[in-house]
Amino acid sequence: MRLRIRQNLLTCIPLLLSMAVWLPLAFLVSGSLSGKQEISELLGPSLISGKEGYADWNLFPQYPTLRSYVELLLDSPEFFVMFWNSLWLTAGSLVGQLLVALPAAWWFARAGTRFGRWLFTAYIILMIMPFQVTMVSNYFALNTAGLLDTHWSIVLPMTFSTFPVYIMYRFFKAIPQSMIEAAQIDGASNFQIFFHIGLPLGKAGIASAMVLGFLEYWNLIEQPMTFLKTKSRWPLSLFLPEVSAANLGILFAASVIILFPSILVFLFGQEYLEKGLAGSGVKE
Amino acid sequence: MDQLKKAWNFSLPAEAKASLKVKAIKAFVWFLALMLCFTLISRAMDSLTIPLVQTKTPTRSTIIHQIIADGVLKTAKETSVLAPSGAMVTSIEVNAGDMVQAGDLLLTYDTKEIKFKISQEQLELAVLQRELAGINQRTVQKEEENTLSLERAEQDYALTEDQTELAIRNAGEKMRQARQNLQKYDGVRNRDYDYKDEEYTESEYNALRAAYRESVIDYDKAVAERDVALIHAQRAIDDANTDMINEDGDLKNLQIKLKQLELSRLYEAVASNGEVYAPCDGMITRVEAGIGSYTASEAAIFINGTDSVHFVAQVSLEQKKYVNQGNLATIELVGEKQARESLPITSITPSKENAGFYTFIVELPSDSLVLGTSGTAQLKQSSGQTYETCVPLSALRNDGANDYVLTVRETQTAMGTEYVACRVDVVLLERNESYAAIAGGLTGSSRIITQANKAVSDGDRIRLAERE
Repeated sequence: MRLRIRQNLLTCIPLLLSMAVWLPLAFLVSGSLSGKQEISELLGPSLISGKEGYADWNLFPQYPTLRSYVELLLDSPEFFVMFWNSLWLTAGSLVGQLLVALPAAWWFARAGTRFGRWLFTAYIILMIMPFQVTMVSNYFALNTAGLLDTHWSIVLPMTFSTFPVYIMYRFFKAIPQSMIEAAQIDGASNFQIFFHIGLPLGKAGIASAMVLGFLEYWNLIEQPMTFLKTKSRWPLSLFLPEVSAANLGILFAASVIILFPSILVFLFGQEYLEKGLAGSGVKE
Repeated sequence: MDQLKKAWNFSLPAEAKASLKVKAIKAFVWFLALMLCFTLISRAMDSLTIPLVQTKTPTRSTIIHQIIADGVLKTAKETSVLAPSGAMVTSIEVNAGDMVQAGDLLLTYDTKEIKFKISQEQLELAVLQRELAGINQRTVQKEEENTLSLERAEQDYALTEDQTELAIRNAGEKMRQARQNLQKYDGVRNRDYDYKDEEYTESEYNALRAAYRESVIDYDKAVAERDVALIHAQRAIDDANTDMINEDGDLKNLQIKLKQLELSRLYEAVASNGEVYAPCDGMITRVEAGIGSYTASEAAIFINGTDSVHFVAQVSLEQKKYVNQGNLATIELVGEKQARESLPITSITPSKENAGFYTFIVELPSDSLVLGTSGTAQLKQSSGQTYETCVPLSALRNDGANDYVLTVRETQTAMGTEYVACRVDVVLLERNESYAAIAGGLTGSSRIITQANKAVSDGDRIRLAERE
């Protein structure tokens, strides 16, 4: 009997911990279902200048309404412009990475030349640099190329991003050399080896790079803010600051909608993601 | 601890993971499809709510005020024709609506009545004259009487004056006598050195003194009596002296003059042989007299003269600003093919019938015009000044206090280049029925909203119907 209570208690600890993680999400959903009046009453003290006090929050809305969703989905065409912008930026970047990072990672993993190792080290250094460091040089480069204020100014730098190369490199590196050699003996060309051995065995790496990429690019905020001037080209991440305090309900609804693809992609790639994260930590 | 480890290492079974993957992909595709639908719906709804507007850039022009007013032809003057009153009408030669010329016979009447009336009046005149003579005679007599009574009054005055003067003198003499007596008695007593009381009795002295006092009173009375008598006499003179006013005589004189006037009119009526002629060209508008009836003191026939015809029309107070005496008008009359151009406005006056309206008159040559014909007058009056910014009147808006126009402003939004209505306050300089000249805050390239399919106000998003 005592043992069971102890066991149940032990199960409760992770549950409580996960509750702490889930709470903000619950607040988000309840906020999106609350009416304008309720939100401004609860958040008013901290948002509206001249008022004293702290924001309050209900786990369940007092007067639930779908008004915010209706307003967002039916009355805000600008939201959809940004939604499709976001999708295009994300998809474009990911497709670009498949075209560029995938072969690059394969070459780095398999070539094994001195030059390759040097280049890879340079890649790593580039990867650990935060965006802010390369921002100015990026800006000048894009300006010279005439790409500023176009979607290419986001997609092209992302295409040549180093992080997916690093992730996929780990997976390709994990393929045993003997397997490659066996294929070579069987008369497989380099392309055949890449398509028939590299890709199937590195599938998890590719997928985790893509999932991580999606999650990152979907929430991209600094690059669009820096490189995109025209509002009609902005992605969703810049929609939220556009919403004023007057219509906070829309803000919550938009947040839920924005969150949705990320959750789906995460559910899809959860397994790869775990492997990918683990893979990037595995020592050779 | 094992339990915790188990929870930590919890993992979905392989099949569940696979099905979750497929479900996630399916859900993602559905999500995208849904978003596509909402994109289309929200755009459609957006385009439904945004007003569609038409714009125009301001032009540089003058403001021409065109005023069109309906009116009718009226006579410049209406003439009334009077038949002698009290005459029986024997025939009427015209009807209402007839056109007549000066000298045309209008009606005839019986002169027998008039002639009888003349003799009657003559007799009455003679009576009046006789009465006047009587009055005059009486007046002379009365005047003589008055003179006589005045003379008498004056004589009375003199007589009274003499009589009273005499009475005063007598009283004065008596008073002096009494005083002397008193003084004498007093003096004797004083000079008598062997004075004895029994010789001069007090009662004697007292009697003398009383006599003296009485005489003084008598004297004063006489003086007062004279004054009163003189006042009465003077009054009698004044009364006799008043002028005599001959009121009856004056009245009779006036009555005689009246009779003479009446007679001269009757003579005239007889002299015209009982016929009444039109005094001018024109149209008979009313015939008041009837055959067989006696004419009254009102006019028998009314004529609208056609020797001068007016076009009369009305304009509002607002329009009146642009209608001035001397402006040239173009007049189109019903039934006339050719408009009459460049006719000056002869007068403009406040309308008697419609408050707030003004009546203006244009003189027309009288050639074969029919009175009562309706028509329109057209006036064009240029502002005389070229305005830099002229917009269609439909573009001018007013919020009760200020005039303003809405211009189109481009903004960059998430939807791309969008147009927003932007309010610009303006000052209205001049306007006509379709255009307004304005000043302030506008350039020649500003696009101004002239029409919209929905109400537009400052800051509203708009769609342009056509690009200029």
